[in-house]
This record gives sequence, C-alpha cells and structure tokens, in this order.
Amino acid sequence: MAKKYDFLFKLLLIGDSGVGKTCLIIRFAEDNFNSTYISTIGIDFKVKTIEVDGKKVKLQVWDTAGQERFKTITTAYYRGAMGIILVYDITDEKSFENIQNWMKSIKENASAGVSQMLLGNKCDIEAKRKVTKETGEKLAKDHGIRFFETSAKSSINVEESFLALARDILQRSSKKPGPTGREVKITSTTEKKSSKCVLL
Amino acid sequence: MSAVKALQQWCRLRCEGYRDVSITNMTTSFRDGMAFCALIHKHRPDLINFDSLKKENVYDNNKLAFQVAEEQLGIPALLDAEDMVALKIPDRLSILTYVSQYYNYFHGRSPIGGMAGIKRPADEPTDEPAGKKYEPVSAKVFPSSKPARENSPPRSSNITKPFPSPKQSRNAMQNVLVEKSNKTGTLSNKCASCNQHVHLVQRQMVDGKLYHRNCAKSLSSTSAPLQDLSRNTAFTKYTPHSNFTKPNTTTPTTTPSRLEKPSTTPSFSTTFSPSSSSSSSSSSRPASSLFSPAKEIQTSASVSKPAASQTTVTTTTSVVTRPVAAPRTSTTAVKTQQSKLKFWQTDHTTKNEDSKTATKNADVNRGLNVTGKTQEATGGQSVTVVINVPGRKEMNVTLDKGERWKAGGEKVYVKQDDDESSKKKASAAAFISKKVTEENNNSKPSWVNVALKKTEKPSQIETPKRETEGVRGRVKLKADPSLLADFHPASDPPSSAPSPASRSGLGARTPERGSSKAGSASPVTPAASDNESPVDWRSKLKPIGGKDTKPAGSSQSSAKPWANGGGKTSEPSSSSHLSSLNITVTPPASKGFLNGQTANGGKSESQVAKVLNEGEDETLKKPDYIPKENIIKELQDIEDNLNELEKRGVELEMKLRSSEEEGEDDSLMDDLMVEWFNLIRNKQVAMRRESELVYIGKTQDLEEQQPTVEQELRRLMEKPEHLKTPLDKKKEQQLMDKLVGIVNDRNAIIDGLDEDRLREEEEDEELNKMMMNFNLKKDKPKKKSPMSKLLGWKKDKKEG
Repeated sequence: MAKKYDFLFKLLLIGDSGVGKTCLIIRFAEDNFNSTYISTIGIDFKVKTIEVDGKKVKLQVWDTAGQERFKTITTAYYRGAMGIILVYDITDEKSFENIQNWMKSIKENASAGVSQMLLGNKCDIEAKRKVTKETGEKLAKDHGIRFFETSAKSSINVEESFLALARDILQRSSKKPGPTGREVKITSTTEKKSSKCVLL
Repeated sequence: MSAVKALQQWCRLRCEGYRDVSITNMTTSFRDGMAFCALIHKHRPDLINFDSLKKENVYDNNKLAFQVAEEQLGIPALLDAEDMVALKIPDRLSILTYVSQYYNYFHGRSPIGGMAGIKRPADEPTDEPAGKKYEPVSAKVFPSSKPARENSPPRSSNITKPFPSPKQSRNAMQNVLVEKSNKTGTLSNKCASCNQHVHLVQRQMVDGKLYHRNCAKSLSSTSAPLQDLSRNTAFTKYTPHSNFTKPNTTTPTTTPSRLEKPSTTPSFSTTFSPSSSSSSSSSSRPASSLFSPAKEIQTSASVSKPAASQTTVTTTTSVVTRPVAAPRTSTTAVKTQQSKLKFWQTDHTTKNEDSKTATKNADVNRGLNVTGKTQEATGGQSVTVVINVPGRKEMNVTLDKGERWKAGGEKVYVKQDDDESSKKKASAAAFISKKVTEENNNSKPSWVNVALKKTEKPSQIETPKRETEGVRGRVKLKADPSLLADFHPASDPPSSAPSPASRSGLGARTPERGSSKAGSASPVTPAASDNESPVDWRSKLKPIGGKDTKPAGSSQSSAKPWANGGGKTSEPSSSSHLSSLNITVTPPASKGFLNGQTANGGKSESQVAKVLNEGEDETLKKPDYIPKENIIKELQDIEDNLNELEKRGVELEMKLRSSEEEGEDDSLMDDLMVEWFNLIRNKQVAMRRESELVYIGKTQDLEEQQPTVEQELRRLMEKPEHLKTPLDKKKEQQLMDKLVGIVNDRNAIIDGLDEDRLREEEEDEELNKMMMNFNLKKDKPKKKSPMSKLLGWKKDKKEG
C-alpha cells in the first residue's frame, strides 16, 4: 500500500538531453524499455519501492528534461533531492564533458549533503563508445561518488546502481536519528499492524 | 490507575510550571483553555506565545488552542471554544477524548488520524461550497468550473495543500452555511448542518462549527481539496445513504424524534447532506456539464434546479427513511431521488447474484423500464415503481461482483446517465456530474471517464462512450443546443435500458449514436473490455503479448508511459488508432462530429479523449493501480466501518455518561474507557486509510491527466518558434504550468502520504504505550485485561 514502507527517498536524474535518463527510470521503475526517443518535458517522476537491507524504501525518482530550455523548471527540484544521479552517454563525449556543468548546477541548486552518483549509460553500444570506462571512473573518483556503466536497454546495472545509491542514503540517514527510525516494539504492535493491514 | 487518571497525570506533568495551569480534574481545569495552550506550548513552543495569554480570555484561549492544534498539528477540534465559555463545567468525556488526541500526538508526536483523514479540509474555495439543500448554490458553483482546460490548475492548487488554508475553507464553509444560522453550529451539541445532536464520536469541527462527521463530509466533499477524490468519496456516499439506516436505527434510542424529521435525523442529515448537495448539484450539474458549456450551465441549472431543489432535501430523507421509517418520504422529490438511487442500485443489483438483489433487481428493472418510458418528466411515477425495491448497498453489490471494473464503470455510467437525464437521478449524479463537468472542462479523465473508457476500449462499447465524452467536451466548447437536445433524450432512455443490462448506462448515452451496440456489447464486453485495455498497456510495458491485437503498433510508440502523450500527439494515428478507430466505427449518426473530430485529430479535445484512453491504459499497467471502482468500494467499506464505529461510539458514550452519573467507580469505567479510546483509535485508522485512498485516487487521476496535458503541450512545442502566435505561446506556457502543476500535485501527495505515515507510526507506538500503561497500572485482575479486550475488539473489527 501507499504507506507500507520504511523510508522515502527522493532521487533526481540529471544530464544532457538524450543520454537516457527517462529510459533508466522506466527500466528501473517498470522494467521496460522503448527505443523511441521522446524528450522529456519539464519534469516528472516515478515511484518504486525496493528493499534495501531489509528495509522497504520507497524511491521517488525524478526525471528532468535535459534540454536547456527547461533548466529553470528543473533546477527548482534539485533541493528536495536526497540523491542525484548524473547521467551521460558513453557514445556521446559532449554529454560526458557536460557532467562538469551538471555538477556545478548541483552545487548551486541542491542541498549540501546530497548523495551523488555518476552513470555512463548506453554501455550496450560498445561499438560507438567514445568515453572509456576508466575516464568515467576517474571522474567519479575525483568527486568521491559512485560510478556505474549502465544500459537501460539491456538492463545492465540499472537496478544495481539505484540500489547502491539508496543504500548510501539509507546508511547516511540511519546515522542520524531520523524521524523514521523508531524502534519500540510491543506485543500489541503486531496486533495493531495486522489490524491495520486489514484495513489497508 | 485508571486510563482517565493516567491521562490526567500526563496532563498534569506536562503542564507543570505553566502559569495559571493546574490540572486537578478533566473538566474545569481545562475550561479556560490555558491547559490546552500549555500542552501545545510544551511541545511546540513555536506555535503559541504562552506568555501573552490571559486566564480570563476563555474564549480566545480555547479558540487559539483548538485552531492551532487543528491547523498545525492536525488534531481535529472536537471541542468548541464557545462551549468552553458557556459551560461552567465542560463535558468531561469530551475533554478526555480531546486531550487523548493531544496525548496521542505529543506523546509520539503524531496527530491522530492523518491530516486528510480526520478532517477533510475544505480547501477549495473555487469549487463549490457544497450547497446543502440549496441547489442554487451548487448550481452556481458548477458553472464556476471553467471551460475546458483551465480547470485543472485550481485542482492542483487544492491538492497541494494538505491542510486547508483556513481562510479558504472558511469561505467555502461560510458560503455553505450562510443560510443557516451560524449559531447553531457553535451551540454545544447540535450539528451545524442538520441541527441534530452530535455524539462525541461523530464530532467534527469545521471552521468552528460542529458537524456530524458525515455532515461535514458532505460539506467538504463538494469543496474538498482533493476534488476528484472527494467526489469519489462523495460518490461513495451515495450508498451510505442507503446504508445509513443502521446508524439511524441505533440513534433512535437517543433521539427518537430525529427519525421522524426528514432532514433532521443526524445520521440522515449527515449522509444525506452529501446526497442532498450532490443531488441538487447533480441535477443541475449534470445538465450543465453535459448540455451546456460553462455559460449555458446556468440556464440548465436553473431549469433543473426546481426539480433538484425539491428533490434534494426530501431525497436524502427518503432514501434513508425507507429502511427505517417511511413517514418522511412523502414528497415526490424524495421519490425521485429514490428512483435515482434505485437506478443506481438497479445497475448494481443487476449484477448481483444475490437472491435479494435479484428480486430487487427485478423490481428495479420494472421501475426502470417504467421510468424509461415515462422518462424524465415522470420522475415521480418511476419512483413509485422503484420504491418497492429496497435501495440498499449498491456499493456492496457492485463490489461483490467479480467485475469490479465493469461494475464501477456501470455505476459511473448510470450516474452519468442520471446526470444526463438530469432530474431523476440527480443524487447519484452529483459526484459524477462534478466529475463529468471537470472532465469536460479539464478534458481530464475523471473517474467517470476512466470507467467509461475502460469499458469502452474494448470493442464497440468503447466507441459510444468516447463519443459521449467527446460530445460533452464539444458541447461545452461549442455548446450546441442541438446536441444538448439530443442528449436529453438519450440520457433518459438509459433508465429504460438499465433493466437489460447493467451497462444500460452506456446504452443510455449511446442510444442516439449506436444504442444497439452499447447495450449489446456492454453486457458481454465488460470483462473483455477490462482485460483488453489493461492488456494493451501491459503489452506495451511488458511482453505479455496476447491481447495487443489492435494496439500493437500503438503500444510500441506509447511504450513510455510518460512519453505516451507526446508520441501520440505527434502521430495521432499510431497510438490513437485504437480509440479513433473505435470511435469512427461506432458513432454512426449524431456524433458525427465526434468521430470526425477524432479522426481529424486536429482538435485538442479529440486528442484528449484519446489521451485519456491511453492514460487509462497506463494506469492499468501499474501493478499498484487500484481501479477507481475498487477505491470507491473500499471507501464505501470504510464508510460503513466508520458508521459502525460511530454507532458503537454513541452507545459507548451513553454508557460512559450514565455510569459516570451513577458514580460508578473508575475501575468499572475504565473498561469502558479503554474501549472508548480504542474505538477512537480504530476510527482514526479507518480514517487514515480513507485519506490514503483519497490520495491514491487523486494520484491516479493526476497520472491520467498528465499525458493529456503533455501531449497537447508537445503538439504546441513542435511548432516552429517563428510560427507561433502569441496565443500559442501563451497557451504553451499555460500548459507547461499545468503540467508542472500536475507533477507537483502528485509529489504533494507523496509527501502527504509520507507525513501521514510518519505520524501514524508514532501514533501507533504511543497508543500502544498508553494501552500498556493502563494494563500495567491496573490493580485488580479483571476477567479481561483491557489489552485483551482491545485485541478482541480489533479482531471483531477485522472480521467486520
């Protein structure tokens, strides 16, 4: 049910237009893929609940339009994100170079402690690769963030990467006494829960 | 230590050190409001400037506390500041109950019941202040719904605010209440809406006025923040009326007089008020939505009003009454409403296999047939026939049936039909009508639409519906009188149609176009249709194969849910194939334009219609998608449950009060008290779920809207910049805003759900602790520990 989860994390994908942000999200949230390119308008999100270390984590994954014209709209959503996923296209060098700009945008717009991750998408198209894996790794390492090469089309590393980021956030949040981290369990709790289940 | 003592103790400790606050009892110690303020200030010093308070300002102190608690903490104001002034010794049970909510909140820092649940914030000023019993109000309101696309924005804004902005809600409420003397509300125990005694469990304060929860619902339903949802709820409430009889029966003991008074009966009024408002509105609304564009609405409203107004008041009563007491329902209006209800029921009933239903159905059918013949004019007649049929749990019936989709769709149809037929089925229609209106205006898929679409998609049936939709939209846009005229007849026929198949609703509209198709197809198709529509999506999403038949091509294009709109917009042909095809095929005569339009694809609306269909598909894909019918059903169940709880709560309260008067010792009382708290708690849980469902429904609604808007926006954006007229640009901006608004609303719901979740977690914990405390502190071993009783109670509840 809509409230049957332990944590709600908000993730945000950014990156140049056409790198596959939307496809990644659809792959992740719906396990589906469509090769027709349809540029995202403005902003959107999808929700998926996953399990991380035994906790049910509801991920609200925000999709942003990569096009410059939507920048003002999309940057407004940086702040609420707990995790930001930078995406480039390994067959498009420009999109990789622009990661720097996107990172800058994060600095300017996102909240300070936001978890980040770098994804090089379209890794199924090895023949057209322009950005080596090492280059991507290095960039990520320089910024101290996670890195994956992914393929939304071939479903490579998509779930893994989201899971990894979610775990990072989870661990980060569990260090602080979050509002969610309450422990008290009494016998009746189970009873109550079950009754709730029925209702829910 | 008793539960009460424990609570008192908690208060005493919390208020220690506060000037002018000393808790020595659970009555007068709270009277000046200082204690409430202290409790709030203790935990949330930011909310109240305690130092500025003066003990003498009884009213202001209380008012402040109640208001802050409600608006900032989501603790429903069970108490009324004026009562606190008026009563030298405030009602102990009321204080206890209210303070227990503070306890629940602060002890775990959770307001009881989730924000939306307890109180439906009457957020939407724009929307109609539900005009209870005053149709004119509702009628006016509807017109307010703007022409096609502009509607959505208001919604979004409403949605976003979990808490009603006080002012807005106030306005809305005031509008509603204007006609009523405000004073009634404030006086201790009378419902501002129905003027009946309000028991503690039933209490709901809205803008400082006391209502039965059900009464408040009816009020808020019209103006509720989540319009669609609220509508749905309201929708659900139709059934309640019929069900409500139970509460009435129970209540009688307390207030026998109520029963005799039609409108007054508490339960009635509550239940009904929604119906009344809805009915009135429905009568007017449907007309407006269907027939007239915004401008024309007024006219239509006026026309329908006379009938509606009469109906509304009586109707409510009548519906309720039947089960309990017949006396009230003498008015024809009542009958009309009944007929409407029956109409509904009939559809439902038809589906039901129960012997009861069957018999009922038979009756109903007859009635329907009769009505159909008589059609609109003879609302009264039809009523009589119908009357024989007991109008009962329509919802349940529908629910029972395996085909929820269909059922829902049918219901919807019926309602819509009602709307169209306007006068007869006003009550059912009210919600629907709203939805319809919105739909039309917004071009968003409302519940109704959805339901329709679902059914429609499959095969032929689909077409008729779509056509209808399209027609409406156009009607609004164009406001063709001729269309309207056509529709009226069409709408009426449905009543006759119902008997054959539940889908008569479809047929009803369809008749003009291709009545035969609708009727024939509908019965068979429903299941198929359901399957199909989902199938398409699924096929797109996952390689389910199988049912793609037509959509196959489209499915690919639309594979991306978000993108769907866009893709389709650009190429109307591919994705829209299905819809367009269907439409074209079926829509034989009158709706030529619809078809034509759809075919053209040039018009936004036609596209919208397609989009809507697509939207449905999307929703279908999603695993957690809850068909609206199911939501409605569950809401109905919750409503039943709540009513049951309230009924029990009324009994408990009386017991508690009587034992209090008799001076029984606390230990005896304590059992009752525990049950009481527990009941309050269960009520909260039910209301939580209710609010959650509303959220879900709203989300789904939004998700269905989104592609439509997106599609239109894409179409605009594709236009080369230099070719864009200022109008285009403006429109583009509007759509963009709308789109972002939809997304934000969806997000707001996610956030709202999360806040609720967090609160509820804490709330659960606290309640457990509290119960544990009682348990531990009990000196005497009783036959049953309160805990076990709690559990037992809960089990009962579960089973119930």
